[in-house]
Amino acid sequence: MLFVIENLEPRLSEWLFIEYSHAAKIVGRKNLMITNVKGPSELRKLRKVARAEDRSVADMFTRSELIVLDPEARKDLAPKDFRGKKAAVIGGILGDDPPRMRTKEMLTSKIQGATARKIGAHQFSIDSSVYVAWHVFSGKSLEKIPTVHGVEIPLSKYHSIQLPYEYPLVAGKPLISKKLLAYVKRRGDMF
Amino acid sequence: MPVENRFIKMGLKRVELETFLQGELGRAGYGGVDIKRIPTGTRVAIFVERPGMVIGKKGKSINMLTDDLEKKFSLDHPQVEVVEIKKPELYASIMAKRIALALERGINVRRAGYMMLRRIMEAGARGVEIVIGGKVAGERKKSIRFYQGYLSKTGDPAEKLVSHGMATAHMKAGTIGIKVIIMPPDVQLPDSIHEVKKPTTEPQEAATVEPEITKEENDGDSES
Repeated sequence: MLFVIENLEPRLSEWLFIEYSHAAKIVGRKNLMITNVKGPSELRKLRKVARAEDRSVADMFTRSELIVLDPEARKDLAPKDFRGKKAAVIGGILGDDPPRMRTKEMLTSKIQGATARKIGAHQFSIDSSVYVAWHVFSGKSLEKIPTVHGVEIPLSKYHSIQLPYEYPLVAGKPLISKKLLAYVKRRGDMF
Repeated sequence: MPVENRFIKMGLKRVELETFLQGELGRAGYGGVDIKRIPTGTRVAIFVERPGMVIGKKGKSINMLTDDLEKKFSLDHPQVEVVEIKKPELYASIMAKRIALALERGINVRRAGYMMLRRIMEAGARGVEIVIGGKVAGERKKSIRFYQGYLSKTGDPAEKLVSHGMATAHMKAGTIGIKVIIMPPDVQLPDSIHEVKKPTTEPQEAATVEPEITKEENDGDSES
């Protein structure tokens, strides 16, 4: 199974690159494709961590071969949904809180005919979505993947950063890459 | 009209009034309003940092404000009372606005947060929480939280004893929300225990009177 991240952000920021790189580590470089990447420098940068294409996923696959992860989908993702499919598509969006539900507008509506499924009530980060989709593809049901909503990263005795997203728990801890933690600690408290 | 609708209407009216006063008296350092029904009408106590700006020359501004309150919000004979805020650091809405202004002037979030945290705690607050949150291009939405001391977050004390304030900072990178919660120093928590000391019944000690030493005795001592 190929996991495809359709890049929907206008530019490749450091935060976005860290999440894409972490997603590639989770499923393996060969199993991850990042599509809709505009700009040769961004393509070059992403090709160091995964397969990257400037075309959209809609132009590369037959629509019936795709599953789209969309929080507005009616049904939950289940292992049987992957039967006869070639790729699971995840929207490359850096989210807002409350979520603006851009996946439907920017992704699902453009690949009509693809199967839309959701992975929970809350908004996941991109790498977390890839992790959950990969585990469901491996045969685990969605209920058996423990998650936590909202993560607080302490920076000092009187000061912390809150990320209001859903993260899967791995060995009791939320799955966040070390690089992202370092980035947040370095410049996360800037606007 | 069902009773629920009446309460919702009253709540909406209060929010509209708060928004109106925040807009009109923002420059005077608006800190809140207290509305009470009295036999002669409605008593409106407005808490501000600079009362002079609310009253105006020969009470012109306060008369205009009274008229507005009567016409726009149909308050029955409003009697506006301007109360000066002695310690603005203990009013959450004022501090939220100050943080917003600091951010708009380009002060770093961490610096602004710590500065206000220190000021509020130095003013004697029992606890404070400042949350600055928003989304800028290229990053996820995140909130930065500054906290110190004790703060009630649930139940009746959180609603009635804690001061809440919100403000918005419009920056180049995007809009940022600021939320401040302050627990004032003089609040009486329902679970606070005061030790009552029993009056002591011990007998008083007898007063001892030192014998006075006369000059002659002193001289005699020194001679011997």
